[in-house]
Amino acid sequence: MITIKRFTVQPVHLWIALLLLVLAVGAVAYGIVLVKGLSVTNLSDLVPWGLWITIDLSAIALSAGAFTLCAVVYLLGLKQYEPVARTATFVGLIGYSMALLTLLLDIGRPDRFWHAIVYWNTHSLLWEVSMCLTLYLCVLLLETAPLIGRTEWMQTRFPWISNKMMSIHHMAPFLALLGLGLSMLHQSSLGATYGVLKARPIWYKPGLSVLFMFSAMIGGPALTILITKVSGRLSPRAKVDDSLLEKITLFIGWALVGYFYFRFWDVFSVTYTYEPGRSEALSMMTSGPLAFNFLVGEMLLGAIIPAILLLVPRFRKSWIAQVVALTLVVGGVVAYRWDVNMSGLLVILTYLPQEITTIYTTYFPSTIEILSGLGVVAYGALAITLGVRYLNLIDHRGIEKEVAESPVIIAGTD
Amino acid sequence: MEEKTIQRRDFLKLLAFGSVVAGGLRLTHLTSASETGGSSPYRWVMVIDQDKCTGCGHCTLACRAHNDVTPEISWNRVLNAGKVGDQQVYLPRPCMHCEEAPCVDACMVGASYHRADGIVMMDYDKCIGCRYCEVACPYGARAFNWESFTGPNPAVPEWGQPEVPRRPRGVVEKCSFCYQRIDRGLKLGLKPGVDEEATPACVVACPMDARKFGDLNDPESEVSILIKDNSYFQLREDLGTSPRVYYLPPREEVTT
Amino acid sequence: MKSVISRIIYGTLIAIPLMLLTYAFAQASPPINSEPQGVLIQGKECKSCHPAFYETWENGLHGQAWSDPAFQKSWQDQGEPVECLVCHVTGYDPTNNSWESDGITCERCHNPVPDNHPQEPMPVARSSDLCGECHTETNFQWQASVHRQYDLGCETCHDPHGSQLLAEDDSILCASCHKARSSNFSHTSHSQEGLACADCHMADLQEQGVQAHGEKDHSFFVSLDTCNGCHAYQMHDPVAVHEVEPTDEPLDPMISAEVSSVLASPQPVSPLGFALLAGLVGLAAGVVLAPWIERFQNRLDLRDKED
Repeated sequence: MITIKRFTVQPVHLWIALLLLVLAVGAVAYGIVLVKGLSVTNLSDLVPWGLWITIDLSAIALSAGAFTLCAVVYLLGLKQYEPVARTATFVGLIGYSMALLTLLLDIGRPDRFWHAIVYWNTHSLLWEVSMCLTLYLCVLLLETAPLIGRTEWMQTRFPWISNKMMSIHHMAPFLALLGLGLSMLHQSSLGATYGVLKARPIWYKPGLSVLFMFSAMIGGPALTILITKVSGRLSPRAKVDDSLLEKITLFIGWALVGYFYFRFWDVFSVTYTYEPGRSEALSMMTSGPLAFNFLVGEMLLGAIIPAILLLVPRFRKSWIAQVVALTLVVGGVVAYRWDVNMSGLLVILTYLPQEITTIYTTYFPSTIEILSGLGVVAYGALAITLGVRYLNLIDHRGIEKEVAESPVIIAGTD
Repeated sequence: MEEKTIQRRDFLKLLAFGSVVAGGLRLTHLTSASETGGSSPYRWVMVIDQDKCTGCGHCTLACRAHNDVTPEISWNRVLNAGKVGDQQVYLPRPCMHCEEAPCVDACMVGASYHRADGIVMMDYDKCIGCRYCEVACPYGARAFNWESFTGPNPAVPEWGQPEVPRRPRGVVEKCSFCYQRIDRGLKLGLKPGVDEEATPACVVACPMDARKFGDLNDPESEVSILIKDNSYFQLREDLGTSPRVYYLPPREEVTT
Repeated sequence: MKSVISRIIYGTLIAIPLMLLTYAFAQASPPINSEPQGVLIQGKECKSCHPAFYETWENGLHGQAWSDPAFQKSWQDQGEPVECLVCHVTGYDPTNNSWESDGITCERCHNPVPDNHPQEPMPVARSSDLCGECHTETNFQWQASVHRQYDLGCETCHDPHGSQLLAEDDSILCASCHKARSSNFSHTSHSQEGLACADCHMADLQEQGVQAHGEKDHSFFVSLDTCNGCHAYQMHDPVAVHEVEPTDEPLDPMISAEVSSVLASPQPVSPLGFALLAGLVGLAAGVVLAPWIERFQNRLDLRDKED
């Protein structure tokens, strides 16, 4: 390695440098959007939601590891997963901050983002989502506080604050409960945001909220395990216990089978009758512009192959197979949200009275959209990398010690 | 044990404080959606006669001038609706001002709201530009301001002059049934639909008198009589939006 | 000391969210008042609030009805007859040969001016009779037209302030209502010769030898005289006047309101996209299967060595 004075360039530095570069470019693109407005995108009145909304939805879904694993640890009492839950909480916090950054970019008036908190329309699903998001972000901040508080740096510099932050850990069960409730509300509401619109027949079904919830519960833990496994192999600061993760990946594998079943029938049950708008959207997904994304991205690579890789014992022993499988799962979650968004917007139903005909439009994100989206993703990756390095994010040792110390309030005891 | 109960007490205090804040927020007037309550003796509807419409587009231009709409957007679109016999028919499409408007339910900040007299209003000061209402509208009646509209409006002054402020970049806008003309006219004792100054600009501008406006609660009004005496249709009735725009279909006797 | 600092920290932790909330509330405002706020017009001229109308009027024929040099010359040549003043100025008082303002000003059509304008709108009678008070022959011809039968008004085609047509070209204006007829016309040989709607349907009165103040015939009739204007020598001769040439692409008079990026059928999938992802799948498969492939190769090598 190159040695400059006493500083040796390691691969992780190159990784961080790359992320910083993408982040810088993304920040410039972000600024351009804020200054020049949304006309720099390829969005239009026919396709008002595009890449950014997909990133936003995916970020929220992939942060679902936080509530899932915290519920498992604090409400089901499976304390051995607590280190994984810790990682998942931090990933969740970063993920939700990514979602909020993307949302800020996407709304036409970023300076009015606070309207969502002050002006309420309780009939609106997006209101419910933004309320839950705000509250859950607070919950995540509280849940992450102990992580930051227990670092050596905090303990030596600000011992009193550090202790206070660590003591929030005692509230963990209540926070987990609150987080579970809020997450179940908004993860499914994100699906329902699409699902209640009668104007778009491909969306108009109650199953959409269930599928969003389901795919979040799969994708969230998958991302967390992926980050854990990769960091375990690449970083000396991450201490990973594979046997711990095996059970979770088993759960993800079986959940994928269930998700595949639901998603399969969600799409193909639509073939049974012709409904204007809905059948055209289906054919878009099976033989049109979205076919690739759906058949290959969502079904084959997003569900079938990962399920095989995660469940067949021979592949479960292989680190690379597991990492590939988890990456494909994450990709499948993103592909699912892209498909849902696009299938409803690319098909336009006319409202002329004689016959309801469909016309089509196209959408591909503009360069600025892609760059700013990548910038937000790079911010997330950078935050996770720094978290692994400096916050002792991934540490599966000393589990018994932690179990003995922290007061778990399980129903019935006390 | 002692420490645990102290921590739990602290948490309960936090919970209580949070609930008070949330409840207080709910009670204050400012955080509720714009006033959708109240009552009004009027029920404004529009009747468009496809038999008379020649698709000239004067309604769109008058609307653009009176509401200072950018040329990139049309609040009222005139669509080519095919042929009936030999006659080419057109469909002018303003906002439907639905009784069960999907956009009102969708708007997360309540910038889109029902007025007591039936008009679906837009509060451009509240709108954050999330475009959920645009996605929800089955009629494509809403348009987002992707760019800010600067400079003179080409439809002004030939087709009229602006009566409402220009919208900024980043908000969604739509036809308002020229509520500003209706409100001003009512205050002066004029009758919307009868007196031109109190009637939407598109209705006044139509050279063929194809558009009518009025109060459905008044059985003597032109719109009530037209709806009672003629067969009419509405757009996408199957969606259950209950639009307030009624269309009279073209009849077989060709008039032009 | 510690307790003081801890108190201050507690205070700050409560203060910051409270400040943020208050700031948000302070900015939140109730729904906008839908009443138009106006200023009284006393002492203010129309143009201070209606500059666009004023500019059109100033540059148009109504604003220049007095100052137009053609009018001035013609009026002076005829010995400055007072009959002209009834229409060319506003508020003409014949008893003392004085008038309020030169040209056709706002009050000529918008009267009586309400005291609380702009709360109360300016009145105007949208009928051809108001315009016909001065444009007498035009109104007379108009009464005979089919347009009048359909209750169209002067303002359907003319901007009342500047009196110009509402479209740059008169044919475009005709075509906005008479779409089918216009698009059919553009294929004809009359159109090829450069004739437009108004050339036949709004005959020039001077050419027709009609003594009138107006310029164009607003009855929209086409009489035999119109045809004879060009075809006089072919009155009884059926031989074609001009050769038929293939028409160019006719002008589309329809006001297009279509959105640009709309297709009748969905875009096909790009083969390059398929290829790229097939490549990725292949790469992934290769990476996963590498150890087995290597083992297979070793076995093959071993077999070769044994042979």
